[in-house]
Amino acid sequence: MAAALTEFLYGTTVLIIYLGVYYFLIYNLLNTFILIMAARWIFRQNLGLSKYIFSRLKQSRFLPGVSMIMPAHNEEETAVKSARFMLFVDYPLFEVIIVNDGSTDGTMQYLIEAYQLESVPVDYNQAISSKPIKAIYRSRVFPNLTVIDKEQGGKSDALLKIMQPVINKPAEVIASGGVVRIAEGIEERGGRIIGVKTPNRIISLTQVVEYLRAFLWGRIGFSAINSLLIISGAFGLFRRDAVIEVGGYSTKHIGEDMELIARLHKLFCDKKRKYQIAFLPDPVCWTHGPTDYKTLYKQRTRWQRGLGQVLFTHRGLLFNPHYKTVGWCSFPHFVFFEFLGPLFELLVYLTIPLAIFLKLISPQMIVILFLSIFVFTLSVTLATVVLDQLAFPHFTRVRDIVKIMAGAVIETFVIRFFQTCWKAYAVLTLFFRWKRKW
Amino acid sequence: MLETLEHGISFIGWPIVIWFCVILLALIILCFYRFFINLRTARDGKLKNLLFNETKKYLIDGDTTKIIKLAERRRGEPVLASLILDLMERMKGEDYDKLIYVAKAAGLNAWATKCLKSHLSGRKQKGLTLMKHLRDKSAEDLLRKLMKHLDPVIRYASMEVLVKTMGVEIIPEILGQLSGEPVSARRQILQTLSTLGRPVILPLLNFLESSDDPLIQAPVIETFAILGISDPADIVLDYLRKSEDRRVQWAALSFFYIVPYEPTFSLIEEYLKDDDWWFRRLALMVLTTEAKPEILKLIFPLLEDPVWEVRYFAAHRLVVYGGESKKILETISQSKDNPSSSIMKRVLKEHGMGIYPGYSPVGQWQLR
Repeated sequence: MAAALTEFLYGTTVLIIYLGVYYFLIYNLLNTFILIMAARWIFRQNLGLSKYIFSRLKQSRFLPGVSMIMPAHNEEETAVKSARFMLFVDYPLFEVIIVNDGSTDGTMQYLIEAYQLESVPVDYNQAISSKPIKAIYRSRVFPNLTVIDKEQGGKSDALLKIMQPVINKPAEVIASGGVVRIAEGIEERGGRIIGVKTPNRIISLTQVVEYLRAFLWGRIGFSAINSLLIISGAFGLFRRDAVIEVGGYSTKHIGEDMELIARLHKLFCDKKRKYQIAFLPDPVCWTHGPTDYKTLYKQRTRWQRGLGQVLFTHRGLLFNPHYKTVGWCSFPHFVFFEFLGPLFELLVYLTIPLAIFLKLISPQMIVILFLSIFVFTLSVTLATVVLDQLAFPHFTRVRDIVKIMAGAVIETFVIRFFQTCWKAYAVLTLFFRWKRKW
Repeated sequence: MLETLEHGISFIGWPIVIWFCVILLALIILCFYRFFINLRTARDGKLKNLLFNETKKYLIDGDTTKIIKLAERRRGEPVLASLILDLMERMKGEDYDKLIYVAKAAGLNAWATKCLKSHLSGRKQKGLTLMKHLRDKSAEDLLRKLMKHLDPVIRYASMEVLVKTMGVEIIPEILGQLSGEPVSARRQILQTLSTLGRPVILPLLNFLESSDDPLIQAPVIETFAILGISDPADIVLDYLRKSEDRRVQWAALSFFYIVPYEPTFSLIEEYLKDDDWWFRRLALMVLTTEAKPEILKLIFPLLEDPVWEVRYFAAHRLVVYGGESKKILETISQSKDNPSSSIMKRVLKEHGMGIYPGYSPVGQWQLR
């Protein structure tokens, strides 16, 4: 009995390490492949609009009107500034709608004072379900600004750039997404970004690297085969009638941005309509990331739980030929690498001491093994930095490039391990329905 | 099993190390490249400042000696070209003419032609934009070649330059190529043609009548709307009456929104009962471009339209009419039983603040 148990333990340990190595290799090879695809797509698309052609497009009378919606929850420090960024975008026809989502701080008061807001009687188009609206404000100085007070529930050229797919295929493109980058380090004047530098804090620097990797290749690669599953809630453009048709953002999901895209894919595939969900690497929206590890932990576990919820809700998409590339490429990728991946990684990390203890593998071999894997992961991240510098160099100082390289090293060897633990914990809380707060 | 693994690691280890070294080397090269680019940008910045100050002086006192001397010394210099191009894009009138003079004196024609021959798209675009201002007829053949370029942006920009340089003469050639262009490019090209004004109407009308494609008809009708001239009104009315394509109908309604035309009113009234609320709202916009009392009786029923946007727009139009209609709105807003009272209150308040719903129908047919 004991011999059988020992044999089982030996066998399982060896198997986990073996599968772990294959997992890391396949994951990195797949990422390298997607990165190459993304690079090929970027350079073939010729995305760089010359500023002269760009200025002509800006004056075009054919561009569809855009409503920019900005949710704000307890953001008294940034709401006024963010609204100013939106009010000064380079676009011929737009309106800005700020949704004060049950703020308990001075967000509403700051907005009222900054934009001379006045309350107007509440009457609106209830096309999709939402929590009750307490008040609607209009501005005397900016007629295209509306602020909605609800119960609790970029660069200036970014809008025109994100509209590019819509301009080219207006009837087909139902959503379009752009890159989100970390705002720590940017310099702004009068609602416009005038300079971009890398942040000094390690936590922000590693997030710069993470966002670069996630947006620059992951999303472009999937977008190229029309199987994009996420358009960030921070920066996305949607066709109004398509969003209303699917019922808008879900209030039951934490990852409501991904859930909306999954539902759009489902609806359009079910109805056999021609559609496209596009992603462009050039339009950039700048967002503030967590500045302490506790908030970062909360954010990442929340994202992982949100991912799990969405994947579970739309599990019918997995390997379903009806949903084409979404069912065969992006959905399985999210299930096996993004959702279950961290749990498996953690299992591999935990098995290593056991393998050493059981003298199945030497510590030197383990070091070589994981060093090779991490160097591979690091090289994929650094390749993303190369692609970013060649295609859309926002960081123009040598010092910034060096800092990003350092950030990539820290992210691969230190932060990634913690994030794996956090994500695995989030997956476990979902599996075992542990009591959670978010 | 683990022996296999160890063997496997030693097998894949080297390719990983080599791959990492390649990436690292690429980054190091990029750092050096960025360093030299930054140095050049700093040098260019100084030159640009110097040129900018000279250009400013020149534009104020009209003394050409210094600027021409400087421009000649920097003949074909990209910094000078960029600066003059930037300024030309922003200026009009006499200052603009002076800049054209400097650009020609500095030999920027030759530089622009060189750009047009470049294989880089960005450089070509720059050359095209400069050529649009300089209107150099010697580049005509080159521009005609670029009209057939693979990149639609280049094709569109070269057509724009040819329109500016050659005027109405080039219209048939451009229209001949229009059907092969993507729909988005057609709109931009037609908008460019509209800059020629009235002379473009006749060729466009002939072109419109020769095509059965709604994706040609709609943008052409819309170009008439941009021109804002009533000459083609009868023909557009004919399309509104006969075409069954919603995009063509939308473009025709947009035309009559910009160019009001009395005989269409009875036809547009029918669109107030259209199944698509976008059309009901557009018809309302067209009918209310001129404040005529007989329209009032058509607007009131729309206050009970099932779609909020139509009710909201109808109420706003009624407030603008003032007088009796505004009083009726005030009465409705005070009524506790009327379901429209809250929308009326909102509209009256917004009217007091000087806010009106902003909506431009031009170009929106592509979304229908």
